[in-house]
Amino acid sequence: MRISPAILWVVFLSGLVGSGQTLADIAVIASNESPLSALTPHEVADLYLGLTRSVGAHAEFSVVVYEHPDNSLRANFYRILNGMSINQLNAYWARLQFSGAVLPPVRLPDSQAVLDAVSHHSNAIGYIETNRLNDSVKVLRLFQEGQGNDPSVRPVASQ
Amino acid sequence: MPHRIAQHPRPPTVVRAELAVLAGLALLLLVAPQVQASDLLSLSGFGTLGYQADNNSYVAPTRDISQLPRNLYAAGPSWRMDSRLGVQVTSKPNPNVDLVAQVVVRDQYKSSLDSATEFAYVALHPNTSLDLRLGRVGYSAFLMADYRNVGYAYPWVRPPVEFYGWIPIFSVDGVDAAYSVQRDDAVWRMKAQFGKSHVWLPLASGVGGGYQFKTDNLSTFSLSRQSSFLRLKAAYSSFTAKTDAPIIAPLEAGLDQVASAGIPGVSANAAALDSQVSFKGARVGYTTLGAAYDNNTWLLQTEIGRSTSSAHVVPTGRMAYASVGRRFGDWMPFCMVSTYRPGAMLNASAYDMGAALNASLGSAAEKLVNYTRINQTTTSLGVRWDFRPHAALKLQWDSTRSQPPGFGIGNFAHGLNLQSVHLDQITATVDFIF
Repeated sequence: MRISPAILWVVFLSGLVGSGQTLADIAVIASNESPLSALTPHEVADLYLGLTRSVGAHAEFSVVVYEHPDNSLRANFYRILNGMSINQLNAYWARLQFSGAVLPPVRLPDSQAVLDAVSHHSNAIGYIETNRLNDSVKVLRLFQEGQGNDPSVRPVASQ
Repeated sequence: MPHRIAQHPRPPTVVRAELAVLAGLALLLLVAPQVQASDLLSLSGFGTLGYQADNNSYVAPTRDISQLPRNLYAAGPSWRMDSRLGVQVTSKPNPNVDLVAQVVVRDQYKSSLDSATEFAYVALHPNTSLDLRLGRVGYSAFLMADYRNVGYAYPWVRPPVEFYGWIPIFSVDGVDAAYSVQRDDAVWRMKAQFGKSHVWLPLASGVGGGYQFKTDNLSTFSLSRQSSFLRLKAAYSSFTAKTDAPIIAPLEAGLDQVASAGIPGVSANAAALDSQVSFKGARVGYTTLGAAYDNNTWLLQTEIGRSTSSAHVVPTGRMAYASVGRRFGDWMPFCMVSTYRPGAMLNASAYDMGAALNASLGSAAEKLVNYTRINQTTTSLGVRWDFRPHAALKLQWDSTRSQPPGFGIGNFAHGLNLQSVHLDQITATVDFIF
C-alpha cells in the first residue's frame, strides 16, 4: 500500500505537537509590600544562582528566593533566563551547597505554594506561570516563551 | 610521600562493612530524588559509587594522601578508592544564621567520626555582603578544595591528583570571613580563614602506625571574581606543621645528639640538617591561581600553584592542570593534563659534619627526604553522561608517569623511587546528589 507523503507529514507534525510541552510565560513575583519594583535578568540570575542576597538599589534588603522542584517550569525558567539545563543547574548548586558557600533556595512543591509564600513575605521572590498571577503579588520581571536566552547572565562556571 | 612498609589485611567485618556501604550507596541512588527537605532542618547529600583498575602490579594509585590501599601496591581493582557518601544537615533558625554539618564516609587510612566530619559550623550573615563562619569549615586555598568529595559537581572522576592529591589539609577548625561586593557584572569575594587542622596519613604506617599531621597558625587569604562565563580565584595559604613523623624520629635523634655535642663547625650543621628533615616547625606556603570558564557548551578549567616550605622534608614544587570539556546534550567528553614538578633535592653534603657522619646521618637524611619528592604527570580522557537529573555516569582513562628520584602520589613498591614508573588506570563512577 502506498502512503501519500502529505499524510506522512500530517502524522509527523501532529506527533510533534502532541509530544510538545505546553509552555507558559513566567513571571518573577514579589509581595505587594516588597520594596522591589523591578529586576533585570542579571539581577534575577544573581539572586537565583546565589551570587548575591540583595539588589543594587536595595543593598540592605536581604532577599529570600523560592525555587521549584525539578519540573518543566524550573527547566523553562532557566532555559529562558540563561540557557542552563537542569543537569548543569544541579551540578552548579552541588558545588555551592556542599562546599558550604551558599545554601540553595528554598524549594516549594508547586506554583500555588510559591504564590502563597511570596504574598506573605515581603522580602521574598519567586517565579510562577503568568496564568496563575493574582492581585496578592506584583511582577518584577516577565520572561516570555520564545524570548531568546542570554547565556551571559549566567554568572558562574557551573561545574 | 614515602611508601608504606607494612601490610594491614582488613578483617572480614570490615569487608562486610564495605559491602553494606556499597549497598547503601546503590539504594540512595535509587531513592535520591524522593528525599525531601523540611523548612527547619534539611537533609541533603552526595555520593559516588566508583570502580577503578590499573595495569601496574607495583603501584596502587590513590585519590589522596589520606588513603592506604588494602594490600598496598598489590591492590587490584577497587571499589574503595573513589566510593564515598556524604550527608549534610542544615538548619536555619533565623534568616541570618545557618547551622551546617557534613559527614563524608570515604576510604581513609584511619576513619573515625572526627575524620569523616568535613564541616560543622555556624554561619552568620550580619548583612547582605558579609559571611562569618565558626567551627570546622572547608579549606579555601584552592579553586575546588572545599568540594573535592562532591564528584557530581565536577566533570572528572576525581580532582587531578597532582594538584589535589597531596594536600594534607581537608578541613580547617577555626573561623573565616568573606566579604562580597558587586562591580558592574562581576561579583568580587574576599575571604580570610584562620585556624588549624589535623589528618592521619599512612606515612610508613608499618613503622610507627601512621602519622597524624597537625597544623597550626593556618591562615588563608583568597580573592575571587565571578562574571558571565568566568570564575577566577587567587589564594595564598600558610601554616606551621606541628607534629613529626615516627619514621624520621631515629634520624632526628642522631642529628640532635650531634647538634648538642658542641663540636665546632659540626654541631651547627647537624642542627641545620635536623631542621630540614623535621616536619615539626616547618612553615609551609601554597600560592594558587585558578580559572573556570563555562559558556554552556565549552567547559575549561585550569589552576597553577606553588608549594614552598622551610624544611626539605615537606614536598615542594610547582603544579598545574588544564582541562577541556564540551557538552553534547547530556554528554560531555573531556580531556585533562595535570603535573607536579618538584623543588630542589636535599643535598646533605652541604651540611658538613665530617666524612663519617655525612656517610651515615647525611646519607640517611638524603634518602628519607628525597623519598617525598613528587615528579608526576597524568593525562586523562573521559566522558560524563548525566543520565538522570541527579546522577551522572563517568568513564575515565588516566595515564600516569612518575620520574625518579622520589615516590609519586600513591603507593609504590620498594625501589620504584629510583625508577621511571608508568601506570594506566580506568575508572567508572556514578555520582549523585540527593
